[in-house]
Amino acid sequence: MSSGVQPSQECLEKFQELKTGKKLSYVIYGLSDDKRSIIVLKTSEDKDFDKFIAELPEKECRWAVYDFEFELPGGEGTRNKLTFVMWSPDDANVRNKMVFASSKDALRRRLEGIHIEIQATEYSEITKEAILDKALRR
Amino acid sequence: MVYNGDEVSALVVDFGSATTRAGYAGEDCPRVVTPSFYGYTTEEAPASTSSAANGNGNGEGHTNGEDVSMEPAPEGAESSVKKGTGRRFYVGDDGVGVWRPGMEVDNFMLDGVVNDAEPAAALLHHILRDRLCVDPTEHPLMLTEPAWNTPKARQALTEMVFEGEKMPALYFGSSGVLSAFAAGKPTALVLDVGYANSSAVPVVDGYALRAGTMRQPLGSQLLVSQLHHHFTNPSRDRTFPLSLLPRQLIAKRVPTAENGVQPKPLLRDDRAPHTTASWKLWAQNTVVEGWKEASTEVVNYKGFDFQTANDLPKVLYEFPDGYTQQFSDERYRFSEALFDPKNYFDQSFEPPATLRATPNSDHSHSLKDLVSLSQLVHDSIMSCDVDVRAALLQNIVVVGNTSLTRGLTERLDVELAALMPSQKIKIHSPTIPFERKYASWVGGSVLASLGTFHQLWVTKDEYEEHGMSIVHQRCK
Repeated sequence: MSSGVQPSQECLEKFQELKTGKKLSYVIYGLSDDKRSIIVLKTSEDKDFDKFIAELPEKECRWAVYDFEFELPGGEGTRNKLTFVMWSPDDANVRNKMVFASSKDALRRRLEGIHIEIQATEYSEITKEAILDKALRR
Repeated sequence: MVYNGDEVSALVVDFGSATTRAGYAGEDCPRVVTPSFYGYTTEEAPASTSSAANGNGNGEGHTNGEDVSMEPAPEGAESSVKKGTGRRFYVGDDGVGVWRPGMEVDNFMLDGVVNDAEPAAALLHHILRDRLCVDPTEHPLMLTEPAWNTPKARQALTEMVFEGEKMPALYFGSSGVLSAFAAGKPTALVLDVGYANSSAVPVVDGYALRAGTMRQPLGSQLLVSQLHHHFTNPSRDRTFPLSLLPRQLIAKRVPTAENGVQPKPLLRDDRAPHTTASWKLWAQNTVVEGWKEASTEVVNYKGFDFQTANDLPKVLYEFPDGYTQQFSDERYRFSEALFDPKNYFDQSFEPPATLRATPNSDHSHSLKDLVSLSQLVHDSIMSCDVDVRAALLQNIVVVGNTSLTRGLTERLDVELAALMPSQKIKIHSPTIPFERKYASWVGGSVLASLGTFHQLWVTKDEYEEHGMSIVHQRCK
């Protein structure tokens, strides 16, 4: 079941840019004001994880793609894995949560090459450690 | 069906085992919450002028002139004579809750599914016309359905909506998915503890996984029947059975001086001979339900025992007949069946026959093989693909009216941790009570109000052209 809300062309273009250009560090997605489509709210080249987390508001849902860079254990070098984040804080209202949850698949399906997926309701669920844990498990 | 551009003013109806919820899409809360139980009288073909003396048995007491004049039972909007089985239905708030001579009680839901279309249609009609006061031909309707809904029930509902009410469009929303979405989760394990059933439905990326869906007839209906037996028999600290008389059969209550003393209320003797057994049982269960809602808790640590339960807080409760008592272990003992059905579900007497409808299968436990809520969650998750288990365990969404029993989510947490010690488990349940009670209605309300959702509606024209296949195709 889905809401019928679709991602705009820009959503996919920015994702491609992040994936192939190796310049962008993350893309934050949200809903258009008329709630009919998914739009890009922000892109950034800043690799600081905390800055990325700060883009996730306390009382509103977001989707995001973050280019997660990490060290392989034993000094085998660094790797990058694209991480998709579904952010739906408990304090967001039902309407907001409902639209984001029911539209997620329409966006996620169009983004090829995602390795890690995180569904978080509080900041403690989206830490570097939690993502690293998933990255290494694969 | 088009108002203000693409603003579709849709309606949402959520048929539940105890209550049916209905209202306008886009609103926070259902406007109508009304019993799924209904009353009916059977009009026998020849004019029923003589009153048969079988009113208090399970036969049909007749509504003769005398009874009617002495009992001005509300009529009109709530009653409707239906062709077919010749039953006259009394639905809605003034349906089953109003005493009528010879009125029997039944419920159109069975095992969480709409089982008897005729009274369900009468209730839908009443809701649309009398409660929401709308012209059904102008509003699309979203109906919720359980993950185990049957094609037969789906078809009956579809006919009810398109052919009966001539509504312009319909969509079936899956209850579990709607509840997960309303909690902000495309992926979640939804534990719904309701009236007739408790069910665990794994939802992954917005789709309910049939493979992992588990249900069993362990909900408040079973607890109420156990309590009914307990109250209508003498117990350790009570030498007499409780009457559990509802206010409808009491003329005057004589306050009892002390706690634990048998009350002597003044009864409505005029009503007694015309009260059916099914109405009486329903009314008594409603009295028990009232006690349960006010008094029951689940101990929030592992394992109940009488010793410690006696030390837990007591509550004073007064029944409609005036009986008053400080209740202690009863507050915890019966709800313990939710987590330990092997020891706390007493099978020595007959549980409600309707609960036997749930079979023993890969996706359900029958009354004989109930498992704890934690085991149900565990089994459901374990029958899903190994890739999604971790995500489900960290996103357990608990909904349903019975889940509001104090201590339930805390206890579930304790039990799950004991069952799966090495796993990260996280229970999320909506903090606002009505969002938990009416989770699937609330989810349906938001979804059906979205402008983009209109492409998913099955329209009356499409149904007339393609029949049920278009419904099955679109409502997944």
